Amino acid sequence: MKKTTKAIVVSALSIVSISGLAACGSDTESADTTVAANSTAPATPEITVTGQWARQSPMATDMGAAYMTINSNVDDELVGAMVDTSVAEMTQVHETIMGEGDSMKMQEVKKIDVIAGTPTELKAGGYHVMLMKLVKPLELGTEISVTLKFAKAGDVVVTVPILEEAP
Amino acid sequence: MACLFTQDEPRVTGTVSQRWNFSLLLDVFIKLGMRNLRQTILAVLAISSLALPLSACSQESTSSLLGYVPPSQLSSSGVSVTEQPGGKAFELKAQEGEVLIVYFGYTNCPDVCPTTLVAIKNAKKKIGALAERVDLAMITVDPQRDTANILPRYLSSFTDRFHALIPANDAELRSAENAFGATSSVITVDGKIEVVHGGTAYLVDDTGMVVVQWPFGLDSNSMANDLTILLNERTQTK
Ligand SMILES: [Cu+2]
Repeated sequence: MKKTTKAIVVSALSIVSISGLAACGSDTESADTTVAANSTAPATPEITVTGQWARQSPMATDMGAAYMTINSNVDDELVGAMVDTSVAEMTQVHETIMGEGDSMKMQEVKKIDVIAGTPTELKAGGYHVMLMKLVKPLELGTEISVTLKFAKAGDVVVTVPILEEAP
Repeated sequence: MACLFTQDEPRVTGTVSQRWNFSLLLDVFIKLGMRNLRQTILAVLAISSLALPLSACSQESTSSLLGYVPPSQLSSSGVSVTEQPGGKAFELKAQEGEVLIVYFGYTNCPDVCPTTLVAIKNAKKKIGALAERVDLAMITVDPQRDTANILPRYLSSFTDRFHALIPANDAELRSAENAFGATSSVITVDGKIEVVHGGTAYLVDDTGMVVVQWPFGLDSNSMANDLTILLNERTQTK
């Protein structure tokens, strides 16, 4: 099951990168050029994830956070995230929200809207994939696998490097 | 006139001493302005000759603090929080000629707190030997979970010079927060612990005065800029 999703993601990535090239130099939306082959059928939801990273977890804490930029060719929703239980016991999609003055708190969100053609950023002080009850610290130079769950595109598996700060 | 406006702009301001000179001059201006027109004109002339070279309008952008300089004086002089390990009271002020960064946070915060602490770590890397005069005190707003066993270990992954401050009781936390105008709360909602805390880091001098505040998201280059200005100022005045 996991292998198939990975294969789909890989092919989705290559399709998107090719279409990205095709759109270069064109003033019109890239959708026009890529969908030309079968213009009557609705576009297959395709997700590309870039700039993904998870924060090295400091000693003494069992919480972690992962960040990335999500692109989709159709309007979609990120409805959840998962990591293997060998990494963390629980994974949630969170948002840090600003309150009065400089006050901040994190809260779980049910979904993040991903608008077609508009990069959706998960970054520090905003949206993040929250890794709770880490089984072991997230060590610099290693990688984890994060499964993102989309309403339309389904499961998308992303390999996420552990870094100290945003790449 | 543009110079007068920059004084009201919180983000880009002159160094602390420049601001002081300016407000003193403004005082003189207001007092004289009440008497008669001739003296007012003289005062304006005096300001334009004196204030211009001192003001933040000069071309050297490197001499400006990039954090926020609080308009009213904040001081944590005489305010102490229990430091762990050891359990001794730590007074919230820098050692002579140094700068102390005071930060309110909690270790189960994987998003906001490490962003700021890593930026501080990298800012220190960028200022060379000056970094030896930068101290860090993190006050946990979640002392129930951040015990003497946890907070020092957490901080040691960001810097080797720090003070792990764990308020012994609520009053201790609140008096520290009041000194900076900070707030926090820890509540349990549906069995989940929800922590609200401020994202600001406060830079305190050796008299306990808050000399600049760093809002959440300030990058390490800006922090390095501010540390360089503040530490060089402290060398010169010695
Ligand atoms: Cu979170």
